Amino acid sequence: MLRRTVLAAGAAACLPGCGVVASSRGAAARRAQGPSPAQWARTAWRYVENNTDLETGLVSGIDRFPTFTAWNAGDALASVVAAHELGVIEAREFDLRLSRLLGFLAAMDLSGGQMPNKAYSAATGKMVNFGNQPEDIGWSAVDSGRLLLWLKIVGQRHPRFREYADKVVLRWSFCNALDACGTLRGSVRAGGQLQHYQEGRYGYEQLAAAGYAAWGFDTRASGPLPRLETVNILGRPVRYDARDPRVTGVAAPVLTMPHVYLGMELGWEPPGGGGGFREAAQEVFAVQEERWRRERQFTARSDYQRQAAPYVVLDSVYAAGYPWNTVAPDGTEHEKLALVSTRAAFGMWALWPGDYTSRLIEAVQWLHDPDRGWYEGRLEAGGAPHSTITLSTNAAILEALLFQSRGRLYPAGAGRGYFEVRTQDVFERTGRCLPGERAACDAAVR
Amino acid sequence: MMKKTLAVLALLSMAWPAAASPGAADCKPGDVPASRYERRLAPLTEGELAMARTAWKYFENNTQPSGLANAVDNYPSTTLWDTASYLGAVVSARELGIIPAAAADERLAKALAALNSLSLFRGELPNKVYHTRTLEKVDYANKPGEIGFSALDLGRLLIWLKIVKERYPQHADAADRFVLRWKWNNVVDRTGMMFGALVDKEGKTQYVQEGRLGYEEYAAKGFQLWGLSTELASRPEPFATVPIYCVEVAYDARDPRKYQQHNYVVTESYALDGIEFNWDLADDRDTDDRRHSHGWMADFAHRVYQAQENRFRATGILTARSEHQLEGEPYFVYDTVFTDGYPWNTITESGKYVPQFAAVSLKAALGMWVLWKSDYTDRLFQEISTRADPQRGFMEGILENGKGPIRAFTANNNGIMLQTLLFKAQGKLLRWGPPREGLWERNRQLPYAAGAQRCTPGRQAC
Repeated sequence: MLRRTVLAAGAAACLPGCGVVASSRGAAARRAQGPSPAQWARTAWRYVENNTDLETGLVSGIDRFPTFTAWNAGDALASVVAAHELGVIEAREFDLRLSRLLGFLAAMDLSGGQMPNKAYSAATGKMVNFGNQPEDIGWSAVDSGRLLLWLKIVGQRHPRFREYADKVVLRWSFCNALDACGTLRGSVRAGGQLQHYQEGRYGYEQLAAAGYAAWGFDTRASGPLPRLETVNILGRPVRYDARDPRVTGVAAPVLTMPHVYLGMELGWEPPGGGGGFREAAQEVFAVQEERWRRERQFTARSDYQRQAAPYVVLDSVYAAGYPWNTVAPDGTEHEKLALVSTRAAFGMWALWPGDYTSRLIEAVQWLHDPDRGWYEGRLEAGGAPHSTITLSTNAAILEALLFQSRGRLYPAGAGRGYFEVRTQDVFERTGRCLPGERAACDAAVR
Repeated sequence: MMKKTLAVLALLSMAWPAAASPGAADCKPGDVPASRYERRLAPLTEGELAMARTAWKYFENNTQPSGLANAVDNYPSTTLWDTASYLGAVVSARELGIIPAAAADERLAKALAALNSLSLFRGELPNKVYHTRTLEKVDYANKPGEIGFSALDLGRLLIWLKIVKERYPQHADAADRFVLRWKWNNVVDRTGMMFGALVDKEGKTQYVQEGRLGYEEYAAKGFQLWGLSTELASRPEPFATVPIYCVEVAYDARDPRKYQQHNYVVTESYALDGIEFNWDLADDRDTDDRRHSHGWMADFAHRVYQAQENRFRATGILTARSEHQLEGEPYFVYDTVFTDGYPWNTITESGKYVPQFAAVSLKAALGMWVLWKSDYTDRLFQEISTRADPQRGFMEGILENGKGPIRAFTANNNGIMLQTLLFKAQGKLLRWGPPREGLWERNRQLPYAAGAQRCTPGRQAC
């Protein structure tokens, strides 16, 4: 999640039959008309092949632009796991790619020596700014949260790598990235000054918190649904983050993807995270389907990336007082940039099989370059493709296909591993505020 | 609404209002107890009469020899909306016995004479603003100039001209003469939609649909009272609702970002409709005030009230929202239950968020007190009933953030407070007199000599 580190987003519910979905009625028909899911996966994987640096093994966040974020590092892990499990790559390629990624993550420079920097160069592995120049610019607690969750998923799904995933996390220092109750804090480093800020809004905040909770952190301040308010859109209630962008200056959009990730990765039951996620996601899906039903406009809204300003678009179901609001992170409106998001379409298709999502897939299935990967989407205004190609979109499509064939991506339960052994050793503390070394959350004070 | 950009005076505060977020209120979703509250209909007490006298003080101070009253204390400028509030004040002062009938008649005659002498915006309809001493057309800086007309302001003026006519037929001809000069088809089109006018950069007149839910239908009633069809303006559609403290509050669904018109939901339009029309349809002559023939208007009014009472219950913040004046920059705010996407939004004309100016509006609080008899409005009354300068009238409001009263004095606030007290004493302010054939009734049937330049109701060919 590139620069969008100051978001927030949602949760969900599910139609009968969704959740662990195998195949669906429309699959045969779709195959007859267009590429098959296997082909979709190969197209997405093509992105990773093209954008893996041969020297470092690292994967760029945007096609042919050698920078990646901590969020993208999670994307890369997800892509490799999904490509292997979907049969796109063989065991040897899987093993070597994953080993190189974990090897890098276990040795990479950390922002302030604490948490992953917001960006790295895929060519050199060094910390960079968003202009790809060497610089320690601070960390994103939300991006790191996604990486944490995928490190956990990798270790659970492929136990032979668990030890190495654990070692990545054991290097980080969590003292400033989340407080005792789990409030997520990003940092920004500019002109020698380091500042921390509360990070995350409804949706992405909870998804990120799940990453920390999966490693045993207390996330009561960020894991459960935050304080929400309700608006009516097309006669349906839609909840949004009560933290007011007019006051905080931080956009708090309702987007599809955080709900989709929470559904695919965690089955809407995030570790340590309260309830109501399924209903929240259902709400976000249903209002988009309703818009299709009433207005005949394909609707699959989420955040996406561009290669010109604004670099990140929060293409929202609801934001800053208005439904179907398309804004930049600074709150400026960009109505013409409303998009049918490819990854949101795939995520909704995987989680809510049915007539509407079949139509959505039909609408986006050709939005790719077979040699480069999937595009971000198609503009609502006129239907022109938005042909920026990103790791996040291609990884999300691989995730959606894996979820569609296997169900929830994060397997429940695992015994003691190296991480537990190491963090439970009371005679040899790490001093990095890992679980077991943290002050108890004094909920009464909060 | 155009009137308000006038005023003067000032001091700025930059505090944050106490947490005003819809938390878990002790309310039941969908429940609107306000629809079962009684209204306060009873003779005024001594204290309430004294309040009326205080409010009248404003008009003693601010009526000009021209016959019109200043919209803001000591500032010689007014709009037609504020002039309606002045007419309401005169009627109320007379009916409540604050001034003798003869004095009221003299004031009404002078005001109507002044209106009759006004030069119209490009010969069409009254300009948005006039200088109260010279009666010249002026801009918002009170400099001579034509800036357009406001359908909402004219609509409210028409309501009060009608109330005056029906109560005091001796003034009917003067009122009729004034409106017979108007080019009605420029303000209400054949679909029954209302239009205001403004002057663009090239100096050309632009006609722009005017009015949003609440104000639009209220003002449309003014035109209806004079026989026009306001079919589209009178429909509540397009509207949407937003849940605020268990209440689905209706707001105008036209997007303020696209149409440059805020969709503010405030107490004022619904309270005015309640006290002047009893939430009845414009032409309803039924005198039983327990029946409200304008059903959705009464329903929406109850919701706007209920959301405010519920907010108080949930947060302890006394809430009576309306547009109101300030002592200094930005001089005027829309202090709303909902506008431009947000509940409890307080914005300037340009849409800037200025929560530090959220206030209990006195005219709104008094309107709520008289229209909804409850413990909550008792609290509101207690809070506002003494917020006056005996030499100048009632203050505009009391800031929510604890910074004290807004010491601005306006014709609208004092006029509406007077009207509200009259409602308590008499009920629905539009009191129908016996049907009569006046200047208007005779002339509106006749084609104008100049041919279709002027267009009055009854002439289909416009």
